[in-house]
Amino acid sequence: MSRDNTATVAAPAAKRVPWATFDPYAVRDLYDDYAVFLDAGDYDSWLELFDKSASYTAIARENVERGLPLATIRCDSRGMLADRIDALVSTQFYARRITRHLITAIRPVGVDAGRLHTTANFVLVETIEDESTRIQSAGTYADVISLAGGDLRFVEKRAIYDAALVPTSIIVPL
Amino acid sequence: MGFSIAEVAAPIGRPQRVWPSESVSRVPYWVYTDADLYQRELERIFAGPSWSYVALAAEIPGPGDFVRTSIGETPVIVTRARDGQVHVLVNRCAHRGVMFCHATSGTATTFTCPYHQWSYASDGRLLGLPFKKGVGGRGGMPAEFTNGEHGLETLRVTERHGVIFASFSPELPPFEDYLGPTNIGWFDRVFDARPLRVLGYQRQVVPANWKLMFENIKDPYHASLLHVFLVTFGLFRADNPSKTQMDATGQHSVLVSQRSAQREVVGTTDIARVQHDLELRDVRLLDPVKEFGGDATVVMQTIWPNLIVQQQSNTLAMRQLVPRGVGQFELHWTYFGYETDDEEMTLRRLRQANLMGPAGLVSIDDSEVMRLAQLGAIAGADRSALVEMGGHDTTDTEHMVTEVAIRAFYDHYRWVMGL
Repeated sequence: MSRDNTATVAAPAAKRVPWATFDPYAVRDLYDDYAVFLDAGDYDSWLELFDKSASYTAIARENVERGLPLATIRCDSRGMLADRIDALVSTQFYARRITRHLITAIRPVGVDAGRLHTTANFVLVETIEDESTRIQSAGTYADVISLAGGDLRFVEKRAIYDAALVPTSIIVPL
Repeated sequence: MGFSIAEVAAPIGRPQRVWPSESVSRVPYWVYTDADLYQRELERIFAGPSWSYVALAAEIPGPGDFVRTSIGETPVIVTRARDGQVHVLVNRCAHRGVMFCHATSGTATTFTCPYHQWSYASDGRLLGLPFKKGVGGRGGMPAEFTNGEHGLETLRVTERHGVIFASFSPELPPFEDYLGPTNIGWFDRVFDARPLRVLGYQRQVVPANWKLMFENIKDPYHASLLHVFLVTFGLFRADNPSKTQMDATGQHSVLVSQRSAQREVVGTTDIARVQHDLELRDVRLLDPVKEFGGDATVVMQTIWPNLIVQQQSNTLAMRQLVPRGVGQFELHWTYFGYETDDEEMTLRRLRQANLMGPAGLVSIDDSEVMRLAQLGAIAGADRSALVEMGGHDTTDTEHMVTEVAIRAFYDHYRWVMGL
């Protein structure tokens, strides 16, 4: 047991880079649409925010820190993400709930081959029918965004949630 | 006029709980809600003569490696000493009770309590403490104080094929006898002494009594109804070949089944939500390959008192149960494969993990239903659950339309708890 007085276990913040050819307002719009479509249950529009080959991962920070590959949600294509949404809509059983995705501190941290790397903070607030509102999870996104056919889309989305111990279930994607 | 002492001070009498019938096909709801009973469970079951799962040896491969976990509500650390020996220590300083280790895992040859800096070795021995002989001739521990008498509380440890169990009790048989001949065979099917590779963790807290989790895995009947995803894709259905096998006491059991081709409709007409037209857009989500001998494709084993060994297609995981009060438990999932897995197999396991865990396409259903089961139990503590699908008996069964393993579990539970 060491006494290294680092209050947080966070890795050093990624260095900000210029937005290059990307429009910061358009990037903000992408995140706003992401939150609003998910919370409205408009999954078709939400899926449209991903490139066809996009990957989506929700992973506990614990696994990232320990160098372990296991995610809690792992979709290696938009199709696989759509399969998960099919389950959410038609096969899974869960209590009805209202969610609010709060996304802040969106920062450009890299540009390569015309793709923008971003990080952002998220908080997912959940209100299950008959219960009080609670924080379901908080964490960071590490994303890659590309401009294709005039629209910004996620090519890669990685939601790293802070508390390994999930309150009951993650029903709506982070 | 005053009250008599007896009237004022008499404790509020709690009547001794009595099982409502001779049969285990009725389970009183107070087993999920009675806080006193829960305290007795911690003593008799988790601190009693049972082998609790604590870790995989692959999590602590090198000298000094440790992981932190719990048995019942007692925090423990699982360590590997310099000589390779595995130790399980109660994570509570022998001085003032501080839970000194708070890292989830790591490597350390000594553990030092932050409060007064008592330090311990990986085997729990007290190595030293500051000011033991006083300062400037004043204070210090009494002359008769010896380090040897003030180490950490240590548990009995056993390991089988890379899986580590521990016990507070000196009185219990070796693990092989504890599991019994049938169940040890199923255990060895997954743990065949090949080195394991840990893939990662998923953890969740479920607002339900811990026994509901065991019941859930011991109940194949629900899986063919609640889990529409499994049924839709043929992974688990009422008409699949299946069996339930208990050990002689009923405390452990295994549920074995075999998947069928998707779209067969026999036995699925009773299932309201089955989706006959659902197709996967990306079949990589579910591309199981055969990796074990025999026909079984699902083997779910429950090992008293805190472990479920999960093999559903190519997802292998330990589900460790940690009770947290009468109405809440944590479930810690440790996913693994084998050192010999190639990249493709590892990727397959990682993708199939989508089925399970706190966001599992299948297991979400269970956590949500257990929450509701607890709510129902709270409101009906004077009533009983009906557990008679497949009859009243507690013997091995060759189909899945049964709750026999739940009955066997309660048969043993009643004996342990004196109910």
